[in-house]
Amino acid sequence: MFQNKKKRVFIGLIAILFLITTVFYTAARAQPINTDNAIKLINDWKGRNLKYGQWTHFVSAITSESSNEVILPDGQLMPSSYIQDDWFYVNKDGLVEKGVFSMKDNDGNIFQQSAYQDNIMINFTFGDRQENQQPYPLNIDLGFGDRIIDAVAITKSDVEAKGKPNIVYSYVEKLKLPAQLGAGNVIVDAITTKGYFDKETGNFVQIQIIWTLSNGTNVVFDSTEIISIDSFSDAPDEMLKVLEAVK
Amino acid sequence: MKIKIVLIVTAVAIILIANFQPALAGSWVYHYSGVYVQATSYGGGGKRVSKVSNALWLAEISSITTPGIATVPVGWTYWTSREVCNGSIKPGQVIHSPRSAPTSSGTTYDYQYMTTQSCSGTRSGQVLGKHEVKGSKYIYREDWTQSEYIP
Repeated sequence: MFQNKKKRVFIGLIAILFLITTVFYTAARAQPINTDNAIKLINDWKGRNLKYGQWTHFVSAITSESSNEVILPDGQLMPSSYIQDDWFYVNKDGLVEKGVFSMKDNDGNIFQQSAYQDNIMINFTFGDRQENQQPYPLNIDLGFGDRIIDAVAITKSDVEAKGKPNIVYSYVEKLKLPAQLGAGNVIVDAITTKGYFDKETGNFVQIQIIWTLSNGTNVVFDSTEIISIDSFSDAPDEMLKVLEAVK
Repeated sequence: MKIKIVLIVTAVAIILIANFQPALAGSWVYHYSGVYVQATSYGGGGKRVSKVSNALWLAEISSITTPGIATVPVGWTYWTSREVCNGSIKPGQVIHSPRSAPTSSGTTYDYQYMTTQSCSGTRSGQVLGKHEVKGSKYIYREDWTQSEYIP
């Protein structure tokens, strides 16, 4: 009887030791891969495209395959694919001081517009007004650098996109537990962020956020392609007129 | 038998500690009724936006009686979680069902994980919702939005 009890305690202890070893070995074997190359590529590109003390006209195309529940004031569902057409005034400290931000459908019609000036952000479409909004940095990389800067693992691959050779940096965030995400409440196991760079010019061209579902399927939750980034000393009168309404 | 239980509890504790890390929490913000909804209890509602990781943020809502009364229906007429970039609402908004029922603790809670989307400027997570606490003396209803910057 005593021998049996002793045996059970011994087996139990071995089981606990095995668990501890498994858990800590799993955590320890994920070796961080250097993200310096990707960060340098982003910073070099930002340096070439982000001008301080000027207006930046930033146009991008967004597509999303996830379900969407945003109803516009006219009763229509907000498009899942649209053009983001933004004007930012970036001050000498590199912070956005004012701007006009327009979402347009594929025919060029504005369906949502916001503007920012004097620390006030107004969404003209939904009538939302936020005060005490401090000037903020312009992330022309759409936050890709921030997403990978503390990544545990990052991979690099060569792909062809729109007939051009691209370098893709990918960062996979495996969720601690599968999470129900989006209006469809799909079960997501992991979220991958991919940054596409033109291999010849080093330009950052696209960011993709991809869900890996519990059945192994990949769904592109959000894909944003940069169309153009241009700097101007003045914004068009049309934009300045919109800014006048920010009070 | 006792040893077995201790071993199981220890093993479960190790797994939990190793696999779950707390979210980088934002703060709960509560609004209260100001008058008793029933007996000497107030009604109220809380909302929270917090960053979980680079890819996720968490929207939470709660309706309460304080001190808790089990017989008072607590809930909301609607609640919504969404992301805003440079002042504009992004696709991916999630609308949740209404809720109104008594609970043993006199409180009720719901949450939604949200995927952090790409954004060129200032990004906020928002929790909108109209709290409803149906006391016998007073019905507390308040519709407000909790909006917090998500780095």
